[in-house]
Amino acid sequence: MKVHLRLLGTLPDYYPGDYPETGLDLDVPAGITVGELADLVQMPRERISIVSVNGFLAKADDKVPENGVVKFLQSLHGG
Amino acid sequence: MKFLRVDMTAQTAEWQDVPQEYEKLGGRALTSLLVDSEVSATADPLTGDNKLVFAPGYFSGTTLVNSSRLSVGAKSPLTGGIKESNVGGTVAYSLARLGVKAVVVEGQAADGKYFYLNIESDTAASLVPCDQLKGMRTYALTQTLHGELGTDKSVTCIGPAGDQQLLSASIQSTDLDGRPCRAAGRGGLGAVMGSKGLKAIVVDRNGKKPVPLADDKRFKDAARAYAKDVKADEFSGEILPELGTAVLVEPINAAGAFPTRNARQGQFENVDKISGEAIAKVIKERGGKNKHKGCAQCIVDCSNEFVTAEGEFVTSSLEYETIWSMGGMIGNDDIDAIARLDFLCDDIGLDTMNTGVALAVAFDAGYAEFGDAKKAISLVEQVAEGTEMGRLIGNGPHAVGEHFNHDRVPAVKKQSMAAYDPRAIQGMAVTYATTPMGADHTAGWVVDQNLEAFGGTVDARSGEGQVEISRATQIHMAAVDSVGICDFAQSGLASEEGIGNVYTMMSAKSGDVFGEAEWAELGSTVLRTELGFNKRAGLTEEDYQLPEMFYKEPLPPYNVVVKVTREQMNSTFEDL
Ligand code: SF4
Repeated sequence: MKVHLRLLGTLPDYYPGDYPETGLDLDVPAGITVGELADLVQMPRERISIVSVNGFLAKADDKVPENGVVKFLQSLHGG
Repeated sequence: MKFLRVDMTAQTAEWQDVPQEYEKLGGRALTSLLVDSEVSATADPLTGDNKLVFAPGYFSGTTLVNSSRLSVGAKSPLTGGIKESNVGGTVAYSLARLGVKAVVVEGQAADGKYFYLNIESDTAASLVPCDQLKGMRTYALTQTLHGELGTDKSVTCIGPAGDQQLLSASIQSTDLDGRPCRAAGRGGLGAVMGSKGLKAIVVDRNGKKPVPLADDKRFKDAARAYAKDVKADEFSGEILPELGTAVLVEPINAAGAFPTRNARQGQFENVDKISGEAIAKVIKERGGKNKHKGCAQCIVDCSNEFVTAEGEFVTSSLEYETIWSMGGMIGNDDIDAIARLDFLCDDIGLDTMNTGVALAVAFDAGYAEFGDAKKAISLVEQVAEGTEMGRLIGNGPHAVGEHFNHDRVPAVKKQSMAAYDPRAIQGMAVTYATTPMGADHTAGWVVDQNLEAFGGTVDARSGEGQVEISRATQIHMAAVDSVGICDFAQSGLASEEGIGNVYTMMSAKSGDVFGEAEWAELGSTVLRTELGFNKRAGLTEEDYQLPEMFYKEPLPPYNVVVKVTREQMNSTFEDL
């Protein structure tokens, strides 16, 4: 199935390949989880703090739906 | 170090030894304790009875990084209570290196006369008549003053909004490039400055006086360790320099906490166009600057310089809160318009948050369509012109709501909330409601503690545990605002060792024993003082509550209302 993955913050710097600015269009096994998706693109899980799938917060073992838009974001503090 | 007492009525500027009770205080602790002791809580804030106090943080002027923070305090004409608003740039460092502990401005110039205060050293300060500068915008004013006095001057000033004594008037201060783009934005303190007849404070930047330290080496060792932690941290050492505070747009939106169209939604569908990532890309492509140093002593460089497609300067620094208030909050996805609005607010001397939310309330009441950026720009221009609608916008969301008889006003004590919806991050509900300051986010930023993904332990959409974390953070932040460390360099004190460095610096500067208990006592004393002032000023429990809309209207996409009860809000500082 197809998913669209966006890496935000400075995460593109940690992507092993060339990261296109529009994000990655990926073919992935059906039923893949958020955590497995991170592993698939070789993104160290500890660098990812927040994940949204189709605009909703998701956790590592949540499944990604077909044509899902996934965003990986980093941890922040400040104010 | 010395106090500079400026009497606008008598037009005098006199030096005074620092009274003993203020010797070991700085920043917010100094401004709030001094206002509490010298200003009647029932005083009219826009008369000579109010005092406007400028105090560098306790660590300002030392070798500690990110410590050029100036606290400005007074009774607020907006909230009706005590106010402290702080600003970066160069002024705090410059004052501290001249040996100035605080500038206390009292009285009121007669007949609408205008002056600027020129501080050249810790013996030379004078009020200079400047009626001709009244009404001038801050960029032109700064250029004029730099032209007359030299560019090696820090300028802290008001624009036309402060001249008109409007309730969203900010006090602007110059950055390292000499632009008046750093703001003590909140609480209408620019109106207090205008009411006194004080257009600007000019401070020489060449001061070399060492800030007195009881144990020089111990202080410097701890300051060095602190800086190392700030650099090593992923957020302050890597993410902020690359993307600025705008990097918050995407995650806060993902959490459903990005107030959109006057807080009718918690997510903005066009967030991709105004995210930190999008802005950094535009800046880079156009030849502007990311990783820009805005403040003296900074090693984080969260600032930026936004330019037009032709590479011409538009504004500095485009930050998260403004991207929200002039973006999602008014349904505007045009980044050039957001940048223009940011510049206009700096130039006219307006709090970008109170102004953006005032626009949002007007749009929500049907005055214009959400997303109409042209209308937003024209309305902010009208603030400078002083039209009826301009004055209304310049007086903030509460005034706009009253005018249109519209009750969806996301404000506490008449001050707008910031860029975190209290329904989706309920810890912020407690902070907005219970801080003595009005709906401030910096008074107790508990976003990280609310989101599990940020290492938080409470459920952001539940009321459980929120009072406790907000209370503890507010006490902590009252101390941080007093020592004068920039919010974005707080990674240096996040760990046990890190905060230990701060205690060591406190001890090495003051010569006293200083630890966790003293830190908590410092923060608690500040809050007790401020809450006490507000009580005497006539603020009641009702003034420490969120507006009804947050209890009644579920916020999409998580469809949640504030669950922290009014009783729980009232219990926050019961036993402080
Ligand atoms: S991190 Fe940003 S706000 Fe803080 S001192 Fe540096 S430039 Fe100023």
